[in-house]
Amino acid sequence: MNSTGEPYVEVAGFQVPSRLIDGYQVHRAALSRDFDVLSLPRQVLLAGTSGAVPAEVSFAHGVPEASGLSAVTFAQDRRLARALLERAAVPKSAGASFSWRSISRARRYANKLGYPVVLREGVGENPVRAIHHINSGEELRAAFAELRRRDKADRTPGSNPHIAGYATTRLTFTHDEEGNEVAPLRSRMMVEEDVPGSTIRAFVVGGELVAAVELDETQATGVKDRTNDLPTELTQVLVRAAEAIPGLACATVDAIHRRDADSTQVQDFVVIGISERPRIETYLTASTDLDDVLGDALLGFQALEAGLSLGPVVDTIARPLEIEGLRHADKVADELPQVAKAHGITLEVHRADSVAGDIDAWASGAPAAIAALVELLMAGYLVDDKAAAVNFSKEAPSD
Amino acid sequence: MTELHTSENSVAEDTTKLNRPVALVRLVRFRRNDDKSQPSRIYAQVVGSHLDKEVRGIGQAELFQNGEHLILPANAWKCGETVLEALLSKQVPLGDIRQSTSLIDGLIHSVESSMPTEDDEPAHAAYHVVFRAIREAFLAFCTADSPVEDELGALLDGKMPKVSRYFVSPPPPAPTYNGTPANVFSDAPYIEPLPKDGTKGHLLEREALKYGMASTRYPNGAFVVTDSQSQQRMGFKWGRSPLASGVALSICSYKEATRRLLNRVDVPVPNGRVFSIADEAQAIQYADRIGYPVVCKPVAGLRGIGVVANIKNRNELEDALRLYKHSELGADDFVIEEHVPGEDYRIVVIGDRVVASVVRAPASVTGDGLHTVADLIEHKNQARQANPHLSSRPIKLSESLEYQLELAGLKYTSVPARGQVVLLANSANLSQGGDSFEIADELHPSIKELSVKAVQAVPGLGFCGLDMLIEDHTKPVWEQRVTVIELNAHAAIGSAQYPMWGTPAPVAKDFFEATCANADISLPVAQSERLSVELSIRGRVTGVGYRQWLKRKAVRFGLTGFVRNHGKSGVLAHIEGDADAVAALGYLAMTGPHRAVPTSVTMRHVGGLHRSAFEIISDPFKVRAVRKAKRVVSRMRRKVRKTLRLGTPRGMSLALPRFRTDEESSRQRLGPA
Repeated sequence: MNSTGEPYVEVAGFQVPSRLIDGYQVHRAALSRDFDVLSLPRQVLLAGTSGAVPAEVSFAHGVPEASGLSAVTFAQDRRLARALLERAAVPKSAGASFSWRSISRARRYANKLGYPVVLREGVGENPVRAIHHINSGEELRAAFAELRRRDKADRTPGSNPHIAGYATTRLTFTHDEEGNEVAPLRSRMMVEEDVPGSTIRAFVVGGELVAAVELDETQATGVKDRTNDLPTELTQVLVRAAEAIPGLACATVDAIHRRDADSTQVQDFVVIGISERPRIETYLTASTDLDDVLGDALLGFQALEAGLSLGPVVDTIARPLEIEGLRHADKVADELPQVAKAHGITLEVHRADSVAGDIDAWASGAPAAIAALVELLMAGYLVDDKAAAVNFSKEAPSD
Repeated sequence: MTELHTSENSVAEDTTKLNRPVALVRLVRFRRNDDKSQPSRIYAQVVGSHLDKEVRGIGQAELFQNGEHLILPANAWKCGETVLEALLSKQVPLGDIRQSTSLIDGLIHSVESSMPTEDDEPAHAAYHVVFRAIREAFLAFCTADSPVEDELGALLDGKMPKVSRYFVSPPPPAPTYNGTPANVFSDAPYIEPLPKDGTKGHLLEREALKYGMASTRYPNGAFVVTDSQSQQRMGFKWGRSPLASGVALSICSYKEATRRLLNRVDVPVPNGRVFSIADEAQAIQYADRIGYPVVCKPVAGLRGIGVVANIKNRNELEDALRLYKHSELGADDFVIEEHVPGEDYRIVVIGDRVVASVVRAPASVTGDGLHTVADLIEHKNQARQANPHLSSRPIKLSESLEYQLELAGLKYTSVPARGQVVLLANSANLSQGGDSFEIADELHPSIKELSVKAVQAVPGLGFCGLDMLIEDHTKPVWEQRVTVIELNAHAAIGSAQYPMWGTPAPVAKDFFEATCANADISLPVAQSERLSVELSIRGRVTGVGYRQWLKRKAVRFGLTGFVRNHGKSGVLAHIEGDADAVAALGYLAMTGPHRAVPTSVTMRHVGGLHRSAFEIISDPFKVRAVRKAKRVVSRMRRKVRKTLRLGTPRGMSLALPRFRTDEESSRQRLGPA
């Protein structure tokens, strides 16, 4: 956790914000197979072995190209995802959606359901914002008021690092009695049963469960690798949940094993969420090698879809590095080699163009370190600047 | 030549002196203030000429009575229009106030038959507000003996965006292009009542239904179509489809990413860079370096929000940045790029094929020497209502529109000369009120090749609405400057399917067929133009007037069939008729009447019932139960009345039973804590 409250994870000697880990992992996996890569804003990664632009495989925040646009949009709509789970006969926690206009009905529903309940945002980034352990109608109303609040950053889809590149833009808002910007009155929230128990998070890609971990009480950190000890029937339910959203190539599925249940039968589990993003940061805390397993699985799956064969794993890579669109290219050209050196990367700057904001360089080092360096540079965390594109390809385009 | 004065001429001269023809009438409604401190106002204006001088009369009234804001019924406005239009054919007698009063009162009286009864007092009062404004305007017109200050004009110039209704007669001529009137679309009446943000999805769902697929619709424009043969499912939401990937949208919706990528595959793009709002000084320096004119736009924009093009110098750039900061995306990073000459094209690419091309012109109106800019804008917006794609994209009265008028030295009340084109926006965006012309047949093959190359550079982009600036679309790319300015991964269907002028392209059909081909779904050879579909509607749809509502819509669309309740929280309907109408009703079913909250609507193809009308089928058991309940209630009423007549027996209370609160009910259900 840094001073801004954003959680960080250490990878290849770099402190990387945990929200960048999905993108970092596919980047690392691609470089470790000696692929050429082009990084674009919002963690877009194009990788391959040929062409002016290496683009046989591509990812955004680690989400593979095979996940269709409508599929990732469905996954960000919790109300819709629940409806699809129901149609796929996947057990889910009891819940219903309400808007600020129907808050009284929401209270009646929560009374009927029995407290505690959890309130989740209807549409938003995964995992959606949620308030757990709500124990009364007053607390429910307060939770509604809190989740309704809109941040000015919601209307900066281009520069807000917490909004996925494919997310729907939320421009509309209204004001509450206190003058705060809030979601429109029709925006819906989910009132759900706050199921007590342990949470299992599973990563499914291409219809197969690749990894599963048990999460801690906050449902934000993996604490135990459960990949090999899940009941077969539960594995099937988790895969079915991922497949409930048409066109979703990979998903992270959360399910709770009810605390009061005395068995591990499937009926004792309820699915509480599906994310189009892998959320690899929660797996690596449960087992140190799970992050690489997921990154490799994502690359392998998308390469298979594209009919691209994976080469042998390499320990070191060396090639031209083109950095574009910097605000202060001269300054970055001075600082970057030092930062790289501190992490075992050799980086030589050949040319810096302050008008265009471009740097031509040569870099060599371990795939993991170079992937982390580029991801941080693109996100604006490495130096006091951020790049608009980084090309790390064996064949630099001739001028 | 000396003109001979005949007795006939003298009569004519006298008539001119005694009568005043009405040349133009206006009726304008201004919205009330946001804080409701000032009520909504109706203004009427009568314009004519007398002795070669323009004479105006204005009247106004507030929609406010006894401390209450009045709601204006649609028919009250219509009646006002009828009275004003009738004035146009009248020679207004001057100097005789009794005759003038009698004329206007007679006209008002002729439309009063359609007024509600006096029992409905607020509605009745609202009619009189409209009539009062008109009467006042007319009498002022009759008595005006010299040109007076244009009070309404001053109001319009200052508060035009506050106008909620506007009528002018005679209307300006219908918009034409080279003498050709705008296209008319047979499905417009079915699309018009649909939620505006879901038209693209509706067009795709309509194609699926015509190909015999089932569809389940969910809230917020999402639906899943299922192929009955393979049982494969495909999801759609608004313009988001399986034909594009999340990666593709992440690239296309970020202009800097698109530019960097296209530049690498030698697709011409404008020079430019991205800046944050803290970098304003740096952005100005950059524009100075690359040279003016430049364009300023948000780095991840949509619908043309915050775009200012053709910025000619540093001062204009500073103004543009101020405008940008006030836009909805004003806190986001922005791009400064060179302004490339050329007309604005939307080229639709599916796979490796250009299927449509629309040239877009910035919002504009053409003067006729009689009407004001405000008249022309309002009239053009009415013409756009007849276009399914443009009806929800009117010319918006915004600061940037006023900025454009100011650049041309005009105001809302200026009267442009006949044939004068008044630009109202500086970017050719249909969402900002631009016009569209379909020209795919004329597009040079080299431009088509370049378009396909640009789209194929983005991984996972099976469909794209590509925005390009082209000097002459009939010439090859090497003889002119051609620049790609934007790629849209959303299904940009409407602009090419519903162009204002030119041959419409069946983009939705091509798009849906490509989506199925991508999913290895084989389609029937032909589509059905008539459908017979079962609608299964779930959610809060019983006890809320849903069936009556659906019947009204079905009848309005000319459909036959029936609707009935299905269990506690379901409604089942069978609708038959024109495929466009059936598909539209299927979408509309997801909205429902005010109190309904449908959670899903499933449409399945069924055999035809060949009914001649649309009926509501009642559950016979429920009808019997309701009748029985009514009998019990009336029996109890009789008993209570009898008891009251006899006097309350000792110990019996007539107070209403007390209902439990939610908390009490809950406590009782849950038992003791």
